[in-house]
Amino acid sequence: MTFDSVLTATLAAILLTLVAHVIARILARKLSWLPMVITALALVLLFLFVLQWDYNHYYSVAKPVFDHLLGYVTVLLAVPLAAMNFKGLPVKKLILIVMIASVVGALLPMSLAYLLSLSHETILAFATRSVTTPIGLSVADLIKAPLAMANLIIIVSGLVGGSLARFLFGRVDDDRAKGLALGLAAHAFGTVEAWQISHTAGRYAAFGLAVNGLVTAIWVPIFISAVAL
Amino acid sequence: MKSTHSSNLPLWLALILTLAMVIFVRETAVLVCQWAGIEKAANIVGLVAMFVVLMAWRLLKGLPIWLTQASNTLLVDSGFAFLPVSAGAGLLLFALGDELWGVMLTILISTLIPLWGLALLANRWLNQDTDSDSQAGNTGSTSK
Repeated sequence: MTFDSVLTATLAAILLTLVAHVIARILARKLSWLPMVITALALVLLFLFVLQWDYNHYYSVAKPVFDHLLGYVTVLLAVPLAAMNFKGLPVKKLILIVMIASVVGALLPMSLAYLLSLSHETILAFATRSVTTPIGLSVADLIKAPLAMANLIIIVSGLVGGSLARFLFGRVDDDRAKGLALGLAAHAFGTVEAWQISHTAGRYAAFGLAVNGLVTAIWVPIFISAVAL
Repeated sequence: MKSTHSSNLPLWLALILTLAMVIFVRETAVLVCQWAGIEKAANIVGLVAMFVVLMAWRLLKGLPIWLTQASNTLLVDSGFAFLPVSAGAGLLLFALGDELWGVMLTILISTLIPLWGLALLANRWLNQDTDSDSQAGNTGSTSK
């Protein structure tokens, strides 16, 4: 596919992405079992294939606009975190759980990737495994990990955690614990799954997602530059 | 410390105000980070700055409900912002080659074990405390 100017190509990229997003949203409303992000992603690829538009060109023209949008979404995540009601919560224990989740969420996948002799770039990308996409991509950019690989890891891990969580929660009877674990370990997909369990689980998942993202975004880049990976 | 307080504001105006605030904080963070030579940290710095500003607002006056309503509305569609890069991830999955099984195994182990462990830990620790959150008429606090 060819375009007269960069502006036309950028507008076409925005339009294509918007159409995929809107269709995925409509489908997700009608078919609740359909994961919206995966549907939208598949639609973008389908449209690119049908239009014979090379992904690299599509991404290069879309990037300047979507980099801004990604930044705005990252900043926007501060709102639910700041609005969280901590009244009656065992705050010290919550902080400890978040710290454990953040450290394990980055170091466990990196260690496993190292043990499985995966490439240096892939090991770095695994540092973002447990954080939500907008923050994960910002962290990946900061630590010079490949963005597409980081995004792949975040999306697939969220999907795995969100879909298999119910089978792991046999001995867990508190929805607060289920929600918190889903938000901390399976970010956005986990949070969506938590809302299906109950509102309590959903609220705790949203808290886990935002606070884990914030904490990980602060220590991971410092840690990576300190150990000079 | 009040978490939120009510105020009447139409959703469209709430969305515009929230977006303006977010854009201002993020673009200021970009300028500051460029000046400091850490351009790539701009989004994270923006997130932390926004959090600090909101916590100060919350401590002084309490956050208005329109802000959380607008952010909830915007975050529902936040997936749109990372669709182009996500499409690249989809393509990458088919191009991983020798790394495919290693990547998948790492994702499975590093997602499911922490998910299970954190749920058990939180289940034990949160239940050791008398927690008003779970007792204040919250019907969804046990499994259904």
